[in-house]
Amino acid sequence: MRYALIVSALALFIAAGIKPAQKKLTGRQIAEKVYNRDDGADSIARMEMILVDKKGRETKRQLIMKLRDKGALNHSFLEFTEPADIAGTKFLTLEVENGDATQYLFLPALGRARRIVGGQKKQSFVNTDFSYEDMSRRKPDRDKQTLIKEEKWNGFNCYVIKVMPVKPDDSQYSKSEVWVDKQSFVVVKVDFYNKKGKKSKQLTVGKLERQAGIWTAMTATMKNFKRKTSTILLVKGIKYNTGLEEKIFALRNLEEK
Amino acid sequence: MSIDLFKNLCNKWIDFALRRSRVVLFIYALLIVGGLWSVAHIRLDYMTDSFFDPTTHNFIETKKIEKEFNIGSGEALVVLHADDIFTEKNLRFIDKLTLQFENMKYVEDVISLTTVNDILGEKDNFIVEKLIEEVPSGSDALQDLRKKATTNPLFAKNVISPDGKTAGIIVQVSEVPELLGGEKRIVVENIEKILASGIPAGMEIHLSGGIPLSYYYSEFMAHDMSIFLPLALVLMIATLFIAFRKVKVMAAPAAGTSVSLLFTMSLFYLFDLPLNNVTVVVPPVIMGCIVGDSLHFVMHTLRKRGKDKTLLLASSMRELFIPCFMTSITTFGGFISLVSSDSPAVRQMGAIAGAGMLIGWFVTFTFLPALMMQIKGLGGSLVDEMKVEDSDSGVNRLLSGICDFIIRYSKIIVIAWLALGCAVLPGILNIKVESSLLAQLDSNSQIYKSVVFTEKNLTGIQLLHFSFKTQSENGIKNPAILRQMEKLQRHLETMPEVDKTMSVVDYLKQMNKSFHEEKNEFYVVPETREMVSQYTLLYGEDDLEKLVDSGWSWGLVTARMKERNSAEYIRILAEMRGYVRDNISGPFDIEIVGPTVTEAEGVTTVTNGQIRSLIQSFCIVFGLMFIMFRSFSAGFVSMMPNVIPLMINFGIMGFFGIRLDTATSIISAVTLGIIVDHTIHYVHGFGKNLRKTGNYEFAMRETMMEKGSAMIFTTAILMCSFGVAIFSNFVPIFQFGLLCTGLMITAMIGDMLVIPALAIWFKPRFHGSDAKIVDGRK
Repeated sequence: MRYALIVSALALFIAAGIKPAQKKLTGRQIAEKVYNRDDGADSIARMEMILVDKKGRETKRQLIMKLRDKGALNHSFLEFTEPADIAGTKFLTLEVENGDATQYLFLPALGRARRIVGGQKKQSFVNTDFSYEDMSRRKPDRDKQTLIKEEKWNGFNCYVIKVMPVKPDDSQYSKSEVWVDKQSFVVVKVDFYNKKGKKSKQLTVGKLERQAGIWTAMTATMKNFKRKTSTILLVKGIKYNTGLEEKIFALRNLEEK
Repeated sequence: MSIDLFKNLCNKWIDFALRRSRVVLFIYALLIVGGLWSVAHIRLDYMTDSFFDPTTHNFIETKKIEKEFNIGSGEALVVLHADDIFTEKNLRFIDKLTLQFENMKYVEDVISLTTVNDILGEKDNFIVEKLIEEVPSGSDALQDLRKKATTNPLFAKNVISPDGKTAGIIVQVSEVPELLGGEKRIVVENIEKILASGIPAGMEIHLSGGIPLSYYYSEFMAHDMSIFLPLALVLMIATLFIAFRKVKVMAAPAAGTSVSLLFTMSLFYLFDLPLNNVTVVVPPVIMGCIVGDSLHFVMHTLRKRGKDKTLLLASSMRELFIPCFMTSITTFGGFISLVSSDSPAVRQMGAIAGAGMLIGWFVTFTFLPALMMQIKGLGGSLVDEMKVEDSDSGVNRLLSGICDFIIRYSKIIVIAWLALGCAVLPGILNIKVESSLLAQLDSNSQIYKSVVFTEKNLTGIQLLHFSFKTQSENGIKNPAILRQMEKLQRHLETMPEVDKTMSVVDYLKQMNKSFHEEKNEFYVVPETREMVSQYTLLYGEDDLEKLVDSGWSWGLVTARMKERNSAEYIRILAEMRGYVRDNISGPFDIEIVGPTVTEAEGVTTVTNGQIRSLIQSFCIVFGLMFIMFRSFSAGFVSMMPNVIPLMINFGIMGFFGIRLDTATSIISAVTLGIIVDHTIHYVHGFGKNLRKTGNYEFAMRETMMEKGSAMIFTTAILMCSFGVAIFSNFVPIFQFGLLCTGLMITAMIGDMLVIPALAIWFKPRFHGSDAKIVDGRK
């Protein structure tokens, strides 16, 4: 569920235009509504990624994110456009049936794409405060969800659910607490707890807008409490349902200029 | 006018202390309760930073680096040694330990063979995986793993030794500033508990690294605390009992000293100062110094005849008010000279101990007489009884014999004393300075052995940083700069004192090789800035944060050094600086900083502190004596017996290879103020007796009988107070105790033999004594 959020946060923050529930929902039902909501068949977003170090110094990166649904699975294509020394670096992530993903990396300095193999779920994704695990979508049945309260947070009327992995080894986190906006079913806040039960990271959505009829989180911030750093994602422009072709998400396209 | 006012104030003070003794004691009772509460809340400082000057450029830069790169003393290193680490049983044990350590409170991260990531490049794949995903069982798989681990420069001498026999588990601890290192203590205790639950047969385990070192410092400090004060108290009471043989009599100085000590220690709480392994000697030292005033006061009172206790005590207070104040102020002067030290620990010691001297004097002239007023049976009759016992005692016979000896051999005594001063000069010139923290530990202690074992089998634990600072963001990504860093690393690794170097270059070379199908020719610095930027997108900041800052404008080459003494560090650093100056250049500023430099520079701190405190304490103490005696000759007579014991102390240090360090460098300042106390009492009494008759022999004999026994018993108590330090686990504190004890003896010889001998031989003038002198005799 939180992983659906990350895809939202990093890429499109799409929400389904699902009507508010009439009767009280369970934690599991809320998670499924978030996971299954209509986020468009595809999307293209121009984004800015701001890395803030522990002294408050900022490093900015510009990127383009393309997303496309393929059945129940999600394909994403990320390309850095700035700064110059990483411009042209591309990541291709293809979800596979078992819930994992295959990732490819293209480094323009080498001119070749490589498949990234290995269990590096805990590792930081492109030196941000997001981990590879945060970047992956995750089916609700891999977690146990419990509705713990309903409250207003940052202007959003929210369900707050506790999410714990069914198998403890299946996640880098022991649990997370997730604030879901009742109106849009967009996740607006997540507190992540490490294996020792200590709050280690926090994701917050600052601005939620309706773009082409789809709720979209326009700013999101991931704070890392241990490293005292944060990563801010700003959506500078987004288009939905543009008819992105499948070949864009092919390995060959990764190596094309 | 001012003298009259002073006398008037003194009389009022004395009158209040004696006639309102119950009020005085009631006020003291309240203060004692407050003091006990304060003492129970004194903090302990487990860190070793307080030994070093925090204002030096190196210290400041090292702290900046520790903060910026998230490094510091926050690591414990568990070292496992076996014939072969790469057996299924041993690897499973490492995995089990790693998991247990990860689950401990205050542990931030654990790095071991089972947590490190291995990178492997293939034609189409780039594999990032744990070095050990599953512990292999077959011998071929184990041998493959051994080869992979021991040949990877990122692992070798880090989590595994090149011979595969020693593995390291690095436990990184979150810093909790308000716990003053207490979190480290908890981590080490938990590691020890885990290790105590069993290790595989044939495996040897050692606990090393910065955190265990701090921990054992605190353990040794707690041990010292638990031994020093109780033992010093017992010895003081025993000495007082021998001196007075009456519990009622000895109770008064014992109580006075204890109260002074309590108030002094409560200053630590009031000024929010922690106890560290220098200030830990304050209680016994203060006790030894303070008891002198009480002892002189009680003995002086007991020598008086009369039945009215108030009059007897008032008389003693008037007569001793100034001499005791002077002895306190000179000892205060000695201690306070330490306030100019560059070492915060020494400064704190000087300030608190100095204040303690003034507190001791105040308590002696308020609490002590008030208490004696209230002790039933301690009146004229007892005084007379004591006097009878006193006049016939063995001590008096000894003192009388000493007087005869001095009269007969005064010139020989003086010449022999001077000769002794000359004989120790070669030793003084041979003193070595030491500021290594490891050198403070007993070489038989477990932590010392563990550090030595770690250095021999895995890696050095002493850190040295070569800081490369550029002026621009991403400056370190410049391949030309990276190649300079690599060049420096190559050179450092040729030095026998350097065990291992690390920099971001190691990661980049490894990445470059992996992106080129693991071909060895690509184990080089990437050719372009773009390659560097793109490679590092794959590394999480956790891997690189200890080597480069987040903006890539500041990088480190970190060298792990073998533990050496300070002199060797100075030599090695000079060599490294020379190499850097002549061979490393580019668009960056480079400097060498870190704990190793701190220790090397500690030599300067110690030496400068020694010179400064010696000069200052001499000026303060002897300046006060000249002022007090208002006579150059009396001042000179006072100096000689005190300077030579200090020379003997330094001579012994030089002859026996005892290094000048944080503890031994304060000996002169601490003891000078103490040893002149006897001189003041003696010279003051001598002047007074000389004024009575103008006869030097009479004055000498009379003064000896008046002051001698107090001098002997005070010296005995001081020896006990300093002597307890020989039970310390810290080598410098042990040496401090031993040397101070010896110094007390030589100083007593100086006071009891040399001063009288000088007076008999040279017949110096004393202020106010001229009127009655005729040819040196009445």
